[in-house]
Amino acid sequence: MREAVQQIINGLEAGGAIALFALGFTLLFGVLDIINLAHGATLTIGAFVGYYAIAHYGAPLIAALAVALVVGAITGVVLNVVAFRPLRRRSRTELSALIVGLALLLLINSVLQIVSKTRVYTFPPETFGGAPVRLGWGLTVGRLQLYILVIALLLGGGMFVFLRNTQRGRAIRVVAWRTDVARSLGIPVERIISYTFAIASALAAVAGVLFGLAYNYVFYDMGTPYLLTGIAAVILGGLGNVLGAVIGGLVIGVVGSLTAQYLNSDMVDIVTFSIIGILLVLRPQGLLGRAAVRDI
Amino acid sequence: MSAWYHAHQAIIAFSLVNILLGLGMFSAIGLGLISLAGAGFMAAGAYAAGVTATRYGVGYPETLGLAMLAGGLLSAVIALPVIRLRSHYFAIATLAFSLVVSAILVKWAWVSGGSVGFIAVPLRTTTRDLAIAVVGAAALLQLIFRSETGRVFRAIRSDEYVCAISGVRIRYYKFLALTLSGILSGLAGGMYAQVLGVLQPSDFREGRAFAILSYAVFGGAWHWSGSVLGALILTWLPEYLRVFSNYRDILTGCVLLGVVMLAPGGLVQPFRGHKLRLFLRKRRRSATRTAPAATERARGEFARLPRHAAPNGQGIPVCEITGIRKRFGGVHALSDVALTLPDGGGIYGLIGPNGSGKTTLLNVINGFTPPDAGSVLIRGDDLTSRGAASVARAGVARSFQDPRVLAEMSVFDNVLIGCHPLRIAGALESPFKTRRGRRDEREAVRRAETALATFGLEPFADHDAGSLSFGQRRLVELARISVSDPALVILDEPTSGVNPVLIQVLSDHLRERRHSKRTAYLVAEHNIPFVMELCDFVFVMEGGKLLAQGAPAAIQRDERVLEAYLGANA
Repeated sequence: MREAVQQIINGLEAGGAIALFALGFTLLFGVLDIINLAHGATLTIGAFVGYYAIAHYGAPLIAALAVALVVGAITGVVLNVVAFRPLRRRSRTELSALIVGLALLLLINSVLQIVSKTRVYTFPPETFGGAPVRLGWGLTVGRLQLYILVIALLLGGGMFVFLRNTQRGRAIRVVAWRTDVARSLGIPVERIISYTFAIASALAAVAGVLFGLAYNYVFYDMGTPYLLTGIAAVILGGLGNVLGAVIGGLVIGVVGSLTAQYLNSDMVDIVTFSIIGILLVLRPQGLLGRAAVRDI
Repeated sequence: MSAWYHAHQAIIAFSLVNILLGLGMFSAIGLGLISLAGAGFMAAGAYAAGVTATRYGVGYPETLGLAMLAGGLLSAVIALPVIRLRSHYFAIATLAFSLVVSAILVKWAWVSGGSVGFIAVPLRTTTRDLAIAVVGAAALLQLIFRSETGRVFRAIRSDEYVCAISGVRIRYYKFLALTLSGILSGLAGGMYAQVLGVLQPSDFREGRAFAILSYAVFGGAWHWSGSVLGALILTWLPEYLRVFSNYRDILTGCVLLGVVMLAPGGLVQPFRGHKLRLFLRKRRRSATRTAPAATERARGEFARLPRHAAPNGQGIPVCEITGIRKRFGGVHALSDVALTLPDGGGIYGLIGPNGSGKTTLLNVINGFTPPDAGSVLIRGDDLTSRGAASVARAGVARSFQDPRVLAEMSVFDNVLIGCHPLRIAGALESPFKTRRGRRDEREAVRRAETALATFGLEPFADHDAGSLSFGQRRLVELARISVSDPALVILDEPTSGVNPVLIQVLSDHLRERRHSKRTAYLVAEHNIPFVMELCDFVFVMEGGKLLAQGAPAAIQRDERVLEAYLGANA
């Protein structure tokens, strides 16, 4: 029992990073109705930035996260301006957006492969300093793990407040609901879309640093598996639903950790994606999402 | 040539495998299914062939049969639950499927060799075999593409609502398409196994799934040749870019990005209108030769027609609904509505203030909205909650308040789809041009020609319906409706937003059709003069209830109606 609780705690840590990534992904889906596969590449960029900041420049964790956040936001805006905005002008097809995201993912991955010379980077040991925190009842949580979870929850909660209680956040929600209505209300839709890309990509970049730290593994192709896990989290919570993405991320993290502990680490993918498959059949709108089935 | 061939034998084989995968993809994306299941079907085929060949020494043709069977069965199984899902959800569900297949293969090591791989598969597939498979698959898809089945595929991609009211059983078609996709991908997998000799689960994950999708999108998803071209270019490009060593993948990514951004419809898109027009012009010329026959009133050659066409002569009402109730949240949209449209044609008006439940009632009758209680009988058959396609197949056609057309298809094709419920040859039969299939098509073309002439749409026959004006699209709807000679036509505010000339065309058409006593029209309208002048009988709704019914003259005098509806005009 204690072991199970410990695994749940461990799972929440990975889950926190998944939740951040999923949050940005779901925000982009909500606003633009696209599945942005390049989101995985943004994550990797964030992880590399975080790694260089910490390992080469000796930056503290908070500073590294801040740098990743900024670089992530810039990446998002650039991706929008270079690829997604011209595409929106040309056609409305969701299909081309999917492939454009894929091409960007491949492109950025291969740039990072050249930059990193296909090496796996690991963080210096002192990054993980500090004794584990004891929670009582024999449960422990690593100091870094605790940071990761706290950062994830802070950013996730902040996003929630931002979308609900600020002018700009509400504008994003209006654009997500109906672009034409937003336009007629005088909301600068293109600018709001840029903001959304910036925010979503900043979250992905931070999640990248956290993933890099959590598994102490930074690699040019690391984004793809997290992309898939993130998509699973988003579907679980309901595509386009912010709170759902956070809950979905945490659940996917815990399920993965419990599966690895009690079944086998090979089984994580099978369990995760089987859950998603079954969910899509039984309740395709996810836990909190909107209608996903068209019945004619 | 021979030296070049030997140097490139492997990549030639792989590009043929990829073309086969692309054709499998086309079979799904041809009706709008963004499938990422191709990798999973391919894995099933590859392991089915590889394991049986290596472990049990199964013969070469049999392994290919097993590969197709594995892909086909698997696709049929997953198709049942996933075809209901909307585009993004469908894409993700099929991606999850491919990932689970690959993960199971890793886990199921005593069969699959696990993540290390399954080695020493006999290398029995030759380039010639692959070429034959590709040509065969392309020929099959071309037959489908040119037939009614292909037209329905494109229609489903364009607008599922139009398909439903034209009697298309959408899920059945999606099921067939996905199963064909599974069979082709399975075959590709079986051949791939016996070209490569080594199988690894990681080869059939998201990378493969996205690659297959990109073939179709890169080349153009509207014609199978797009998938062929996409697979060819995306397989060979990295080969030619090899001189750039490290930068090869970057360049490949740039090409993919550039093409999809500059030509979102794919590389073959520019040829679309051109080819279609040539093909149509030929067909229409042959149709004009038989023009004298077409001017005569369209008499059915469809064997289905006697069952479908209107008067049953036994006094069974065309449409009889009783006790219909429908709530949306707290709103009682319909409460206890009953109405009967007797046999023998006629024009029935349905009027009422905004929000009185007219459109909801029409949606219940035509099967879009299942009622909470009550029953809908179409010519004696209880079709309550059976779906729009079933109702359409029973002889009910309808229009929408905002005209809906298949925007990316020609006007001619839009009208031809209207004949769908009359066809005898099924989805599996019509591609093969059987006698019944040819007769269906001949009769459909003849009727479509007549309908185009009736509504003055001939000059636009080969235009994309999406390029037409609002009023012209309404005419396309009317042509699509009239072409099947239905027993009941539902018109939802046909005069709204169109000019007086068009209203005249509409009322002339209705008057002319009234004499035939074959078709009953149920017309929901706000244009009271139009209703009063034209209708034989009028139903008045208010607040989700049927307030009054009777002859127009009586309705105009009815106190309740004057009070509730005509109000100030009284």
